[in-house]
Amino acid sequence: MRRIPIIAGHALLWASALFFLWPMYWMLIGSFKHLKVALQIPPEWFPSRPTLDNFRILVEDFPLFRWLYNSMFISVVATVLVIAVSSLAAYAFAKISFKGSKWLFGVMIASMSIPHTVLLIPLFQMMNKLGMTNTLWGVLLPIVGWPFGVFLLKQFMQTLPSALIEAAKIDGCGEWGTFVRVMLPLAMPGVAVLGIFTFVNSWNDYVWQMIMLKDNLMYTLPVGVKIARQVQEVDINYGVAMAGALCATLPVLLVFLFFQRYFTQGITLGAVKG
Amino acid sequence: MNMRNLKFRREWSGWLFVMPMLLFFVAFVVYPIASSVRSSLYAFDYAGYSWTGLGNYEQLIRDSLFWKAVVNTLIFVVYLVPSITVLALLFSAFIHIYPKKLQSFFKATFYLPGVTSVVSLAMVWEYMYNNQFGLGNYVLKLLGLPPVNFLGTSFAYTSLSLILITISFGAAVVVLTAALNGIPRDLYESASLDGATPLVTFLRITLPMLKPSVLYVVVTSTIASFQVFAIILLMTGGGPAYKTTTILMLIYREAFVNMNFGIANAMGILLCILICSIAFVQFKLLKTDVEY
Repeated sequence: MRRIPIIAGHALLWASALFFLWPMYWMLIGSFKHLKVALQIPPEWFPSRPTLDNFRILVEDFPLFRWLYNSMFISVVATVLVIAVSSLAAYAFAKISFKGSKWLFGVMIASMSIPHTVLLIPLFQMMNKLGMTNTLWGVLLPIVGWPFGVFLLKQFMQTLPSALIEAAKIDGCGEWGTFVRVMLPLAMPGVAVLGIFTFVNSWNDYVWQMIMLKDNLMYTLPVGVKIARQVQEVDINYGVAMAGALCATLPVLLVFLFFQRYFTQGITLGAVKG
Repeated sequence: MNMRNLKFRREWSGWLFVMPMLLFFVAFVVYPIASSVRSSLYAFDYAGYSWTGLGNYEQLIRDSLFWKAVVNTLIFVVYLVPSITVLALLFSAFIHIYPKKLQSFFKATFYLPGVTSVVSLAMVWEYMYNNQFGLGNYVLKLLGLPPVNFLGTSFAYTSLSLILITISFGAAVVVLTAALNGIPRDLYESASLDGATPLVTFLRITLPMLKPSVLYVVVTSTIASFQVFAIILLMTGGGPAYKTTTILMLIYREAFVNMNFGIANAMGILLCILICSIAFVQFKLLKTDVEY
């Protein structure tokens, strides 16, 4: 009798896991269904006659590959810039004691408690003044200003022994040489975590992209696919909608599946400071 | 002399390393915050902007729609934070019994909606919530229940909350499972030597050891719940009849539909103050008896 709650708990856990996987499964299955099959009740749990029509419609009627390029460009360039800029700053904060470093780091960390979404309005006004709305650079540059990467990499670099730096200095390395040859290679696991987080978050920052990008050829995949679904609104084609949803999420999904370990690390690393 | 020279070079190289980040930080965080505060002090009419001091804030405080949005946001917080915390705690307790491979499977599964594009999530859920062709009502029918208008007046909160819980659930599970795995085994061994029952062990060892992580989950999920927006914009647009209009939804409407950036910025600043003070209070309240 005492085991019943335990068994119920495990059953609930597995059922919930299924529930969390379900939207992904339904998206995948739906993207291969003809319109008629997609709207059929009772639904087909597995498509009996799978079709690629939905994807054909997306590719033929919309600049899908252009959208893919735009999303990739934003996420990749933002990731590279974030890694470069924050690893430099993190090294200085972790290992060079210079006047004002504590204060500056404190200001950056404090600013992270400001809800990111509140910044979107002034950032948009700023980009508007600079004439950078509707550009990919306008979308990606603000991502680099967010100091999360500095925080993450500083935490990571602090744990690396300073003796290695001293050794490099004795061997004649300057600060730059020490950073490139000693610190950066050792900090690679932290850099990987930061890179993957930045890539996924930049890809998924839908609201900011939607505010900024106003032209069919400038849309990112999530923005474009959403518009494509609205175009189809008259006769809701859920098959096409599911195909679009799958396209918008497949690249980040692959990144997630390949680098899942780093996600877990990143979340716990971020939680350490509490 | 040489020492002083060395020290100077150290200072100088420190700032040099920080400089690129600092430039981006000032341009895209400090400046926007400052300009947001400034913009909130200007009133908008069709002729342009004019100085109004705290006029926008006064107008907001008298605006019933603003208060409705505040209440709606708080309702989401009340729906989301306890369910995420309690369920994540419960699930993590079961997950950490499994071998490492399966633990990773569960963590990945629960984290999956968190990395999925909100647009994709909104589209699938819209499909499943569809009144005529949706999976949701079909399942209800199989269970012998009457059909439901998922995004209608009476169910919109529950339907949206369900999606929002799945989005931020994974991070909580990952943090709590890691914390559970981090509790030293010998604590449990000595407890069982002392003849402690599982319940006592849970209350006296597990829960106190988990407190910092639970605090982290509560604070981060509260902050996230205050900023619930994208899914609502995509699924109900704040309707029906402003029922699901949150503060951010209202900010978005003021800025990009009514083009009144002054009011939008004033609301943003109020939201910011609200979030920061609630997070601060939570920290103080929950931290009082954390023991290490």
